[in-house]
Amino acid sequence: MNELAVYENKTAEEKRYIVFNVGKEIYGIDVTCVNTIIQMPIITRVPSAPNCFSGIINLRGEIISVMSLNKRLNSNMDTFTKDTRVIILDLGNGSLMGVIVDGVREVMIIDETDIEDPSPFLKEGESLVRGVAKKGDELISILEVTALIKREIA
Amino acid sequence: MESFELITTDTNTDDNTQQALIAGINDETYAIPLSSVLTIENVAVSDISSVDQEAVIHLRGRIIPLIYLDKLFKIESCKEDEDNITVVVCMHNDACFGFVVDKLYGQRDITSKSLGVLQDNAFFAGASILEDNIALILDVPAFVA
Repeated sequence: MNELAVYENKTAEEKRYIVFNVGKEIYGIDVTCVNTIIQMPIITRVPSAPNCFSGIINLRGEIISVMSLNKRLNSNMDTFTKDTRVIILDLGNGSLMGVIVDGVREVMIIDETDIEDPSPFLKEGESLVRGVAKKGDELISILEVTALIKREIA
Repeated sequence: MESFELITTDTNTDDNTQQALIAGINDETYAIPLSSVLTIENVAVSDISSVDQEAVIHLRGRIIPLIYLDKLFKIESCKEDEDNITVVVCMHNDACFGFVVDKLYGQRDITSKSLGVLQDNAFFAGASILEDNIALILDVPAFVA
């Protein structure tokens, strides 16, 4: 019990993030939200689904909806390459969703104090970005996983 | 207590496994729950009439509106104009209508799985994993206007 408490204290400061790119931009997602990362599977289109959803996939016998982050974030069309990956996210309460990204780079440890609030010019509530982390010359936008589906479903 | 357990398992199987007709439109596969299928008809295109700009067919004294799934789901149909179309006639609460499909693969026991975040959609009750692909299960009551 004591050990667990120490561990929680530590993760409050430094968290691990999966860093990936969508188009030319770099994004990060908290690893605790990530279930697995897979290569591009066969996607079954779902007519009537919101435009940013590419469809559903069969992941080891489970049906999982897949969203294209290209379409969701900057409404670009998808171009699938050999680097294209699907990150399976855990949305909490056991429901999973996949997001298509243009390439997964690494797992990065980012200190919570290195994450700055996103630009105040972005309207609050509309942004999917919880914060921006600076690593070297690069800016990593930290995505808020629950916000990805909020506007689409509501 | 025991009988209660029995009832819960019964409803579970009713919810998840069912018999369905597997239909194909172009290269996409859809499942129509067999419980709502009345008949399957091969209809000549010349027998299709139009009522209020809706395609209908006469079938044994009934008028059955047609739902062209390829147009509804925006599937690019590569089919040339044919003389006959395959119509799956479905019934829900005494309302009859026919799905126009390209081909039929026969009936199968399917397990319905939730679409997760996409479950709240207009046409589908779920999806089922077939041997080599996924079939979306049509939510027949949703088509009854």
